[in-house]
Amino acid sequence: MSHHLLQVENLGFAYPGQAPALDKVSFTLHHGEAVAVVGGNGAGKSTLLQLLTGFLMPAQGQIRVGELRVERRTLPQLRRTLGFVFQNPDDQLFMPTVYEDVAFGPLNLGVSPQDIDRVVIHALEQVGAASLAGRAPWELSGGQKRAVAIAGVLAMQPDILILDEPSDALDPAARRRLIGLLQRFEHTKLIATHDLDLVLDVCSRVIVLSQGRVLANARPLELFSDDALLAQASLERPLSMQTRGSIPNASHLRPIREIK
Amino acid sequence: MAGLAHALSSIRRADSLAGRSTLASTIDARAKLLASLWVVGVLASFPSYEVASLLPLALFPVVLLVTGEVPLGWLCGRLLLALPFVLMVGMLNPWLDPSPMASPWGAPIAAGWFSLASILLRGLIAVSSALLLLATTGIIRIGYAMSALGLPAVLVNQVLFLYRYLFVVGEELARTVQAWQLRRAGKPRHGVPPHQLKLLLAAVLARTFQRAMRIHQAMLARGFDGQLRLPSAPRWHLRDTVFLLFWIAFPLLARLVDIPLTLGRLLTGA
Repeated sequence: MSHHLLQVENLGFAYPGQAPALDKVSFTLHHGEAVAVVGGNGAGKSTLLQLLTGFLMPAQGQIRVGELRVERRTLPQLRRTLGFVFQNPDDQLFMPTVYEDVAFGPLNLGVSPQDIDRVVIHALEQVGAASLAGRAPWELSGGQKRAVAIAGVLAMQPDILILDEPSDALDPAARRRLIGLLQRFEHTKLIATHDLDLVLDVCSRVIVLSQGRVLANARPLELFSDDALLAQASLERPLSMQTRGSIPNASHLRPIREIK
Repeated sequence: MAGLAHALSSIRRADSLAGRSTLASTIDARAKLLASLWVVGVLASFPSYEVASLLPLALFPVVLLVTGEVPLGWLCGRLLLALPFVLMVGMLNPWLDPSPMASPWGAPIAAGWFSLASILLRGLIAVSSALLLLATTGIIRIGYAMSALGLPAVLVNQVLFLYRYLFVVGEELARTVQAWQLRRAGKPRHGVPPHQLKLLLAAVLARTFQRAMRIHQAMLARGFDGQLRLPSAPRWHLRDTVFLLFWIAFPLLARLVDIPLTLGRLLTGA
């Protein structure tokens, strides 16, 4: 069985003294698929990612990555297969230089010091950040940090990439570069995000979570056309699918330089 | 809170300084760590009223400063931060130890002044040695050196995490206090009131704990198993042996022979 296959079956989890954060969640990710998990605040996205990466253990149901079930004893093997990019790159980057940070994961997985240079440079080149190798992570811009955080995960050569709010706090240009990057990756991808335009550009399927349950599991365009469903999940159409009635006719606008 | 953020960023600069290729950075971290510990150890072994005989040991930080091409301004700024703590240790000595002692200029003064000067000098040499070790080696390589010298991984990780969490706590504190200042609603500036300080610190601690947990999770997600690994394992060279032997022998000589006094006698023929 392929390690690229991710199966979530009847998953349930509740934090102590609280209502279930996830209830009977089931879905499958196939080899090479890019799937988005969307939903309002408190829908259960973060809990789902914590369960997928083994930081939380399911109260019911199971998660399988290929032939492996997510359990404490299988975590070392699973972490070779699942690459997790954290929402805040500052949480992920902690070595003194970008090079050492990207090398951190592969070295832990047993990549030899002879091969590490090739692995690190290749990962940095994939995200267009090879020139940052000698820089300190805390000196980088938000977009550069994000790229380096992704490189740190890519260097571990995972089969499945899990990304938590990858476009969070990025400027439009950095966000556009990230979308290009994600489109180029052939990995199986699971992306938890509020950026529905990114979903349109990158993902072939969307799982909508609401109050810990799967509300829908469908193709992005079909799903984002269903306003009633989106409203139920505290979402709205992506900006590129919205019409702006209040924007004045462009012919009435003068360039800013003329106004000055 | 801009002051705290600035202080954190300037301490962090030590990592950037350590990343440069300098003469000091080519010396193996184990040699520098052992030499620094030896210098500080010898410094501590001098009698409490010694001042002039401590001066030769200041050569160690001077050599690291010059060969590490560390900006003097950076070192002085960090030393100023440490100075109040060093002063606090010995500031009452002149009053607690008033017994008269001959001064170099003849008139006797309270022995406590000598012990205060000695504490200040020891403190400045020790703190600058530690800062320069950090600025010429970097915390990761110091951790690796500790590990290579046989310290348990648990202890090494404690040092590394402590260093990392220093910034986490500092960043969270700076953010929280800035948020408080912005909502002070124009009240005059005279610090955080005690009842609000309690809530503020509780919020900082809670946020720091959550952030520390996420950082640890990020390390685990990238296969961290408690052992630190470096991209290129350092190799011991002849220059490291020479460096270490010199910095073992020289402090020992300074401890056994009063070098300034001997030099003075030689120069003056006294």
